[in-house]
Amino acid sequence: MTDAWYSKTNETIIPGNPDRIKAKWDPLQYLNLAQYLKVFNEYPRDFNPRVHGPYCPWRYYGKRDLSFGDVKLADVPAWIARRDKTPMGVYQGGIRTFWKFYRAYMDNKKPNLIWYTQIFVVASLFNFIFYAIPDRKHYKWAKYH
Amino acid sequence: MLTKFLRPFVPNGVATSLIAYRPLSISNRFFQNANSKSTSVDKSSKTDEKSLVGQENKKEKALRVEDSLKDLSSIKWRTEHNGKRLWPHDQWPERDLVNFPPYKLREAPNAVRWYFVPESWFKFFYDKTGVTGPYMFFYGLIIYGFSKEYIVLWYDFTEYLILAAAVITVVKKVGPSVGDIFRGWHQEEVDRYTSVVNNSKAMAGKMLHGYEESLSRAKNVGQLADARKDIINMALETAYRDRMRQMYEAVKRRLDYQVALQNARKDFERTNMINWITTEVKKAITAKQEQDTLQACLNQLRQIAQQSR
Repeated sequence: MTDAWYSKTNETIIPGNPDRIKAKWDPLQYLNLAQYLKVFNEYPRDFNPRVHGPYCPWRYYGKRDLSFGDVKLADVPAWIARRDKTPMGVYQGGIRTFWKFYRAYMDNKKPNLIWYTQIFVVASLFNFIFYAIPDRKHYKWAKYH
Repeated sequence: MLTKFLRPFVPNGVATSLIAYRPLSISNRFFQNANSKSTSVDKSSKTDEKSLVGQENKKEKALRVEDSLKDLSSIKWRTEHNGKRLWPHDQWPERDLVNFPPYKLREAPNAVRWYFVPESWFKFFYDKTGVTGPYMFFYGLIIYGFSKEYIVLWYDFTEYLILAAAVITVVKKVGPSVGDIFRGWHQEEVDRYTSVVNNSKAMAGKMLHGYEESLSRAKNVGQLADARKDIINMALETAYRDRMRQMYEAVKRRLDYQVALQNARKDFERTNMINWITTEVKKAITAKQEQDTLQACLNQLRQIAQQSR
């Protein structure tokens, strides 16, 4: 109660009191943005550490389902219907994709720059398709192909 | 946000009556006092009840990282599960290690072809198109681009071709070496961290080896002292025996002298007596006695000859 600027109780001046320590190693930690991002900072609903162990963000902890490569073309609409299309589900899917990419190309003992090349190629394709082709339409040799 | 309100109160799947909980020794008491002291003393009993009730509610809530970090008293060791006794080292009987194996750092990144196409795509299309499927796809894309003039063959196309060839050549020649250099720098940094522990282990081992050697040397010092004692004792005995021998020889010399002296005296007396007696007897023998003895001997010889015949 007496935690005023002129008077402190004994608990407050004990060194190492975590309630009094406001400093953190990292400025991002100090800003404590996690309190505003609590909605995104939760584990998935189906995650149980007693069964699944430590949390792996690249894994899907729901009911096991076919991957897109194994599903037949006729069952694709049903497969899409089974997916979690809520914003939170989409967000978690994107997070899982990123972590899978990280684990495939960056989280190993002999990393290389293939991840950079892939991002470069995808960005180049995007730029080519949506910006370079329109820019070069004036330089075409023929009008009809 | 929506999921938070729509989330049902799902229990963990195990009836609480089947599980026996045993709290930690005293740390939870410490944390409870620390939390309640700052507010007021009267609320201590209330917080106990609230904590029990809150913990039951917490079981039904979704898992949150902040819960375990803020209050360690929420951790409880289980002693029993489905009738099986659980020990402190074996608290996770439901752990599924088959479908969810523990995390392992991968050795190498996924393989790629042409620096951006993953191998999994080639494996996926192998059944339908064979080995040349993806290659044909990309070549077809390029040809489609030329055909429909999405890739316009203007005068800068030569630059792009040469740039691609140059980049690919440089990356093929220089890439692995540069990668090794960077990885070497990284490995050096990692070794700077890990070598601390390994070096202290090695130093500790060396010091222990030195201590063991000094201990054995200390043990052997006793043997050395015993050896020196034995040597000295043997020297003492040698000197003792030598002096005994000297004493014996001295005494024997004196006694031998006395014996030799007596023997010499006796020998002289005997020889002198014998010579004197024989000379006197020989002097005393007259001619008549000599004739008589001769005749007696001859008579004896005749008798013996007569007897023997």
